[in-house]
Amino acid sequence: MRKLVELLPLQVRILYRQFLLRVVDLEALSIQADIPRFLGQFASVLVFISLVGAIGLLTSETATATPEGYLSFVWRGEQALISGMMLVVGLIAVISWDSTFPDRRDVMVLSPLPVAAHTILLAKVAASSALLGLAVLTLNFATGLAWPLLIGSHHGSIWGFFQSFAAYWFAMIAASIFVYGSVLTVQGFTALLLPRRIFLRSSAILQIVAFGLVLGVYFLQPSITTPAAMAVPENQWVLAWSPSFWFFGLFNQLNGSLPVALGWLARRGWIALGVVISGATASLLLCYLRTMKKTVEEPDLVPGARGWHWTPRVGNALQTAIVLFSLRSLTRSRQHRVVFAFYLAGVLGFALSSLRTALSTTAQRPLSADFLIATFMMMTLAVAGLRMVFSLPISLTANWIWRLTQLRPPEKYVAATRRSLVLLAVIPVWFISAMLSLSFRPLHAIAAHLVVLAVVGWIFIELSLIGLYKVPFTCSYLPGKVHVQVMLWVFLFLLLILAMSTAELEMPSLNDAGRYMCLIAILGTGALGVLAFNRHRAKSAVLYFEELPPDVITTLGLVAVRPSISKINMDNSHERRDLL
Amino acid sequence: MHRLADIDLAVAIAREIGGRQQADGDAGREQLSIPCAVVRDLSRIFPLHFLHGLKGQSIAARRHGIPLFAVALVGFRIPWAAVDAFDESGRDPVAFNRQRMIGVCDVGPPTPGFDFGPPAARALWGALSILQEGTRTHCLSDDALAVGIYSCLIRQGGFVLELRSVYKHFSGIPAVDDVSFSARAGEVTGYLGPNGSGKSTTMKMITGLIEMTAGHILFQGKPIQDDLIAYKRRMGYVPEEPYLYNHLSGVEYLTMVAQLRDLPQKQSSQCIDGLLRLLSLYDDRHASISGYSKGMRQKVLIAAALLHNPELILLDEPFSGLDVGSALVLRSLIQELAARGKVVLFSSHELDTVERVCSRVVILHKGKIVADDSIERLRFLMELPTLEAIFSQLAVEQDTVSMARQIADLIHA
Repeated sequence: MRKLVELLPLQVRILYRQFLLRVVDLEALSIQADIPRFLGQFASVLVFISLVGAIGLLTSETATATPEGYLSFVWRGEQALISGMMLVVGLIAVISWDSTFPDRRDVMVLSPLPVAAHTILLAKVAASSALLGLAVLTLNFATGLAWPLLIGSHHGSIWGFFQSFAAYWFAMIAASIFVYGSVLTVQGFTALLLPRRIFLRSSAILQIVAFGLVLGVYFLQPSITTPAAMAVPENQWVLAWSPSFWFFGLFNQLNGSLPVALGWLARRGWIALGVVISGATASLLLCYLRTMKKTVEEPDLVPGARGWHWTPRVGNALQTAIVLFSLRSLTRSRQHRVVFAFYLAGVLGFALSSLRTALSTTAQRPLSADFLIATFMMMTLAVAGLRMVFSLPISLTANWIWRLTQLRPPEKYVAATRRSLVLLAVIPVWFISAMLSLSFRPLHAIAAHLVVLAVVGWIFIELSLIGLYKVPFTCSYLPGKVHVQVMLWVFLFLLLILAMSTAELEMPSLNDAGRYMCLIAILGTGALGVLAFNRHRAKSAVLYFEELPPDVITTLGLVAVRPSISKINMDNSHERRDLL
Repeated sequence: MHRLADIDLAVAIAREIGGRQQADGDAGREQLSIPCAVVRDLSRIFPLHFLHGLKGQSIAARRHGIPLFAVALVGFRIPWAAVDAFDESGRDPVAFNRQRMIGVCDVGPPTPGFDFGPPAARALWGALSILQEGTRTHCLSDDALAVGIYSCLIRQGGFVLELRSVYKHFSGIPAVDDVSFSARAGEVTGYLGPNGSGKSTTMKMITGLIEMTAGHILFQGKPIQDDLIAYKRRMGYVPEEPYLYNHLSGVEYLTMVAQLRDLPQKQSSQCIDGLLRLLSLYDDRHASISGYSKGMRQKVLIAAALLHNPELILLDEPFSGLDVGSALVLRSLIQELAARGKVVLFSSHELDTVERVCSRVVILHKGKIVADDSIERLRFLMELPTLEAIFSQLAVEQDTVSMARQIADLIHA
């Protein structure tokens, strides 16, 4: 890739590096502004996923003895691989939102310099393509070889392998370009058609919608794995409007394994690819040719929406200030949205899976352990995600106002942070869980579970508040301290075990009042214990706005006999001079 | 002619001050009581001379346990006389000024026909006159009297903010070096210095944002660290850079500040609306601060600093980015706030504005104070026509014309 980049003109290379830095959003991910390191970590996670997927595919082949079973297995695998690829690229597109288009900063900084618009465009596209290329390559690192081997072997010739290999990679790249290009097209034409001030406001909303759409499509779309199921009239709508099936058709067409009846799926894939490439190219070109000038001319000052501006009170003045500040930071800061979206993806994933199960049947079902696990996971992911995002500062330089107005003891700030976690994580997740649980019966079991869920949420909040003596979104963090990629997997693994254990404990107690009361008593005691511990610690805590690295020099304490400079009466100038 | 009520008050004050001569320092100081308005009015009427402090290592003040003290200069030609005297003794007044030994006590009669204005001023003047007659002296350098007046001013809001030998070192490098000065209620104190002279560092130490390496900062006679929270409630600060939360709107930011300051909601929202209207931000109050111009951000900061009606107002480059109209409003606002008894410490590079707004200036150079006096006296002492000329002589080391020429040569080469 480096050699490819070196082929580009010098100006493009310089800008490419700058833009790549911004595509990645290093600050949000805390990796010491080291692009190769970040890309390495990012690639290693995707390679790991790919390896796990490949091993899973290769080992499950033995279960497919019959031709029908084999076909079903292959189609399921292909659909999973393609939709997985589209999910990852969709999330990358959401994460790198707006980064391919010139923003006001680019225009203001680069316009006075002798840099042509097409140079900026080329550098931006190169940066976005680098990230996208890395994702496609690494996510298919193992599966891109294993899958063609697996299905190519059924052709019985080496040509079959190469055909499958080429079809696989083409379909994956096409699916990725389709997803990324769709996002670019929508963004580009929104920027072109809307007045800039409205575009700036709607861009954040579009990002959230795109995020929900990507996740929703992935989790809600069914897997249709037999020719018979493909022919069912009820499935035609899904096939016609779900892009992953179009690229499934495209892959099979290139592989020579597409039934004639499904040729229309491949055609849709080709058309979609063509439309998206044309749309993205046109919108990018138009944006660079037309909007760059418009960006300079039009002010960034977006007048506030007219009408009602309601500022709800959610406690005392301090609690209201901190909750609203947290909510606004979360919803208006791209960096924080992106990081929280990572956790939210998990929450939505579990929620959408439950919804899909609920929608799949009209009959009311007994409460299942799967649902309990899903709700626990949603709750803990939401709290952990919010706690993680709270640690990322939004503007260190603006923090002086918190220091200057620190008129209350630290425990009041901790209480306000607790309220933020309750209102922004626990209550929404609890409410979603309550909605999802409506398809289950009996109702008393649902009510009992919702109580347990609330207490579990409370415990998680108290656990996440241990040692958190800072205002959300204000404290600096030590670069490199948060190893997201490593810690996340450990955390998720432990979390899953914990959720399964809790569900296992809870399930029998839902129909046994004695056991249930005992469970609630244990959980309640635990919550109260951590609450008391936090309150006690907060009384002697000092609110901090900067995390300090641990001392690297060991102090022997040999100078302890000498008084500290601040303790000395500085009125005596002779003594002071001696000391200094 | 003194009115009867004024004479009564004058006698009462004279008794108090006279009592101080016999009483022990602290006990006597506690009995002294002059209404706050007296001091405020006095400082307004006599901004240049009256209440001007003699600072230094006074033996008398040390004896009373006060390292920094003030001696009232009652006569109006006193500084001139003092400077003449120093000239006669061969000392350079400018060098003397740099050592911050600015004033010397002597007492002359009031200027004939001088209108003393408010009764409070007349009363204190009367008290001092009676005291002079009583002690049959024309010199008010009496230690007890000095300490008495000083303590009266401290207690009643005369010297509200005081820095005593404040140091700040960053990794051993001094940024602020032995800075001592005071700022009084009803007065705008200018705090000047070139870039990197330690102005903003001093400001941040006064706000409590950074800790000093050594020294004392007192507000109303008490170290600010003793009750930092109470101190913060009474202080408003406009920082040097308009650092705000860009994702909030102007009204959201100000509401947040009001909530953090625990101001009543109804009152604060009315105040915020009013400030936004007066500062011409009302139409854009719901727009994101990220789109605000520098001047608009500066206005938000000014509104945030004044929202809680602070007693101490610290303004670090408040005119930065403001248009002419807004700058004129702010200039008048600063004077109005001072006239209403606020302590205003004002740092700026705009010397014209400082000259118009400030009654007194403290000039900092390389972390040290090189001048602390009224602008008029500095002009007189240094025989320079403008504050700019004074500042250039005291705090600018480079030959600016030569430097400009060098830069032009460099880019031409």
